[in-house]
Amino acid sequence: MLKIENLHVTVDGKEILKGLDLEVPAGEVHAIMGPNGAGKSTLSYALAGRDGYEVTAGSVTFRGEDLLALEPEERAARGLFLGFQYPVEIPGVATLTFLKTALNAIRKQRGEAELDAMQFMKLVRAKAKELNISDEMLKRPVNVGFSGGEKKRNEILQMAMLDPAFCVLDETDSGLDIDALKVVSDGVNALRGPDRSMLVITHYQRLLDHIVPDRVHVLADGRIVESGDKTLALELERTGYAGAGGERAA
Amino acid sequence: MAATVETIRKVESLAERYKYGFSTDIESDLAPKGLDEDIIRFISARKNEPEWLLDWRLKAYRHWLDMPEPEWAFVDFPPIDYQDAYYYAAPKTGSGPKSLDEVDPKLLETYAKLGIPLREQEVLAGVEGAPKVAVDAVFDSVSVGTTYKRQLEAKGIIFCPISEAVQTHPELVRKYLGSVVPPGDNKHACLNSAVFTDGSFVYIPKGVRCPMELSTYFRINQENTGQFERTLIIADEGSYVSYLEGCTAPMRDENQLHAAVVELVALDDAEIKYSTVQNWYPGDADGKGGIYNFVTKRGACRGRNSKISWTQVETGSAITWKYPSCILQGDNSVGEFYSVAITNNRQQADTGTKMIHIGRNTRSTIISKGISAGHATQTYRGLVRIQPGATGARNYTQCDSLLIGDTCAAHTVPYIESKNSTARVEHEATTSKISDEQLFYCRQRGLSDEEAVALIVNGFCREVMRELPMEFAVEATKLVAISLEGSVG
Amino acid sequence: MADTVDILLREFRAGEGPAAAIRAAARERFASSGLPTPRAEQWKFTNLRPLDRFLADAAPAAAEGTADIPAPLVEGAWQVVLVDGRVTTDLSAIAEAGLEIAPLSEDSLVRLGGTGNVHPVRDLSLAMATETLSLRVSRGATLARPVEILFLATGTRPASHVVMAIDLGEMADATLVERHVGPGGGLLTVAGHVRVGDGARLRHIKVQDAATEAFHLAITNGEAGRDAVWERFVLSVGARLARDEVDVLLGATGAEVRLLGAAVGRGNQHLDHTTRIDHAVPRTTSHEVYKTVLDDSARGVFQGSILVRKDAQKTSGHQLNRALLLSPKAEMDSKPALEIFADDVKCSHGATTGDLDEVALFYLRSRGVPMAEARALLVQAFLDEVFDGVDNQDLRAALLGRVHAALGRPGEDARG
Repeated sequence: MLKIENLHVTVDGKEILKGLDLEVPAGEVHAIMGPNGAGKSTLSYALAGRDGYEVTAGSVTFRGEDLLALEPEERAARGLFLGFQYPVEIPGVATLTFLKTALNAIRKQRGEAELDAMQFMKLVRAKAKELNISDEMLKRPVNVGFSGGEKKRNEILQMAMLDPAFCVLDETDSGLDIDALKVVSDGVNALRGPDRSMLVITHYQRLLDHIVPDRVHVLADGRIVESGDKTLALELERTGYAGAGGERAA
Repeated sequence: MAATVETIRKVESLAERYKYGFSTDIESDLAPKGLDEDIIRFISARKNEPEWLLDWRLKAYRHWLDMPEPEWAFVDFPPIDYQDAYYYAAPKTGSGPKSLDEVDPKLLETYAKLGIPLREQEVLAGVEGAPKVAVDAVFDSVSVGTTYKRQLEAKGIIFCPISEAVQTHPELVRKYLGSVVPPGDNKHACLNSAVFTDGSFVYIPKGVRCPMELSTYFRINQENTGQFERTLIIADEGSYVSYLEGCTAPMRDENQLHAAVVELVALDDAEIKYSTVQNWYPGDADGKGGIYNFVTKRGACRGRNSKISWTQVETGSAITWKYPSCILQGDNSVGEFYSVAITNNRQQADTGTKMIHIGRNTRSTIISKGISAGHATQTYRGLVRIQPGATGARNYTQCDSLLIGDTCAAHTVPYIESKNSTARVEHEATTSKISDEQLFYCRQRGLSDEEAVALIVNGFCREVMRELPMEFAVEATKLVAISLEGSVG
Repeated sequence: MADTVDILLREFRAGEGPAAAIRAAARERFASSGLPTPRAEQWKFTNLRPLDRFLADAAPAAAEGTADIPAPLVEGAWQVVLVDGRVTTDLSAIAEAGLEIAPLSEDSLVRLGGTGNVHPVRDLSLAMATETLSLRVSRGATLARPVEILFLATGTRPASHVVMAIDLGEMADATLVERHVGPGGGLLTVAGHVRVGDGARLRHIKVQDAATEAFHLAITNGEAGRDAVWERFVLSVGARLARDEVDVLLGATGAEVRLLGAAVGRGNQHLDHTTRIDHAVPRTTSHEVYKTVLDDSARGVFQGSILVRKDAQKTSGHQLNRALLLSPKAEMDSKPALEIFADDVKCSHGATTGDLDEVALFYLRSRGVPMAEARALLVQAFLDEVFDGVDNQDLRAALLGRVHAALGRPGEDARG
């Protein structure tokens, strides 16, 4: 579904990703782990097409298409979803309005009919209920005054609504207590399926107890230095990142 | 950064999208060009005015000659040649229509094109299930029609052109005209007092709640014409009225002057809600043409517990110079000012409000949202004055500026004068830009650049938009989107 | 007004040389403009007419005045004393490596005369200077002891005018206390120039505690270099009418200015704090907190403008101005202003005026705190944010003590 080859990304003139290779087949959940500053967030922003994340070499193919040639909103319409580490506040814009605008913008790009208010409300209520999101929260401006857990649940709600093929979850566990983590993980797990892949980016193994990955990759200094199954995460938890890609890989 | 640049480019294309820029080909009755005492006599004679009003006009004119132009605003334009304009232009329709059926079909067509219903069974264009709105349509210098007059008359409400009120209710006009904005208040108001041609007059009798929105729609059509309308609204004890004002003009290369005066009077327990969507032609992308919108709007809360609320959405005009104000005389009276101003290309706006607290326990709220793009300059200028007798007065002011692109400018100049220790005055101001992060977040969720900007800006303006009556809110939200929408799509 | 100016300028002696020319030019400007009137936007709230009257009969021979020289506010500080606008300290006795205090050189005066905006108070000081003073801290020097410049007014002269330049070299570090005291009335004008070199840090504490018959007008033009920090604290508690004006140019990347001010007025005092900050280049920072407490018929003024120039992206400019009116007759005028020409900025200002929180007052009293003490406590809480900017604990305590004395016994002179 997603194939990254020799990806080099520069931010503010500094090379952060230095030849990253990664392939995620349809239906699989892969985890990327790595120390701070390894380039984890850079990878997620580069995939989503954020300005200032300049791809200097390499390619990213998404469902057979050159992902890097697309604008951010086009990538979204093709089915790429990024769950932000720090979801952005948009004062004055109700969460409902935002969801409806986004959903219909994507449907329009996909050539599907826009949902009317009734259809939309029915859909959003059903999804929100699963994530324990109240009507009151949906009326509040996007992420403004939300607790850490509310913000992340809101991200998962958007993911459920927009029905993406590929989800990048950037440090989705950061700032969550154990209860919130469980709600969020359940939400994510509910969305797993044969046609949907996920890339879970995290610093801690904890999240992977809840969202069990098919493969685990270690990102260090801009490259994938080690890959393995879910046991690699446990090993990293024990030994730390210092040895990753070093003696073990050597 | 690429996204931001693109946004700016898209935003800059606004001028090409001014959809009210057509003109109506209609024969006009014009006064000779220029301004002198004879022109004023001409206007007064055309309106068949009583002697006292002519004297009032002439006195204002003589005073105007000696008055300096206000120079403190952050706006820049060449000196106005007051002799190079017509001060009276009226569509030739004989001696004024008796009923709407007699109105020139061309005029009805014009208003239909603008989305203004001059047929009573119609409602404002594009709004489903909107309540009834009574409209007074002012075309250049004269009112061409007022709807729902009879229904309003049944409640004792007077809603008519001010020229008609001078004939039919001279005692009311004489009592209140110039009582809130005296002719010598400022140069533009003084000119208006000398040459005003038409405008709306509203009187709501004691205890009456006006059953529908009242609305005036101003249209400048004739070339080289200034529009000098005068609006006077009196809400007698315990009454309520909500009044809407809209304006457009054809696209012309010259600058046209619009120097209006609006006076509001609220007596004991009365409330006036005055909403404006100002969309005069802003000039083209290079700043050529456009309306000079030099307007004096002021409300007097004369009575106890009275309330005056100004809401404005300002997207048009080459230059805006406008400070809708409240004089809070009556104890417990309330003044409100909610404003969204969008300036783009070469537009300049110096706008804000004055809240003068005189009575005890008077309260005022000011919420101002300024959005500046292109090469535009925008200034919030406000005064909050607490007089010694205003014990327990309260003011809260919030003015936020949003900048799009790095060639525009935003200024905030509030004056706060407190002469009473029990008064509380709070003022907050911020200036920021749409963050790249917000734009990216929206685009990641599938919104295009321009949809993202429109969404964020509407969010930024929300506190003001929700103060607008429903009929206007729809139009205003669309206007914001159009103002910031690009040529793509 | 013309008469006043004439009287004022009567004793003007140009002399010769380039510095004299600068002074003559300042005199010409002042003679033609005179003292500003409230019609001038920048002087809308501060009327210098009382000064006019005072100057008009300024001629009477002043009684020979004397006053004891108080000890420095910070123990061990170097002290430079100016009595009625003339230096009386033997400057050569101040011996610290990297510190040089002397009259302004001719060159410096010429340079300063040509910088900054034209300003009537500056022109007046420059033209009529009774003294000039230069304080320089050389590159890399960290002063071991603070320097206190003490302006003592005894009343021998109706008007004194001082031009003062503070110059910190690269990476220098210094603490300066500027203090105005003494029983003498009359007018003092001070034109200050502050330059904080690249990477340098200046802590500048001004205490204006002049006699209640005095008139005090000060304008300080400041400039901070790359990554330089200028911290300025001003307490205005004295004078019949005082204006402390600061005009800061942030003209180098990373430059930062922190302006803190407290004005405490009573009787019929008029205290004006006016600031203007010019963010001229990218990545500069300004932070301002000004608080005003007014009792009796005192009047307070705050005017603060923040200018962000076109290319000054990533500017951070924040300003807070709050006033507390303790008496029904006190008045406060506030005019904060933002002028922004760049888009990537974070700027804000906030202003409030109001009286003491009655609920808090009642709460304290219900716990047995007497009214006067409760008020004092709340006033101190109100001012804390500003006084937190004074690092030296002894100095902070002394200044707070002065504020309490000023507010403690309204209507009588609390100093003594």
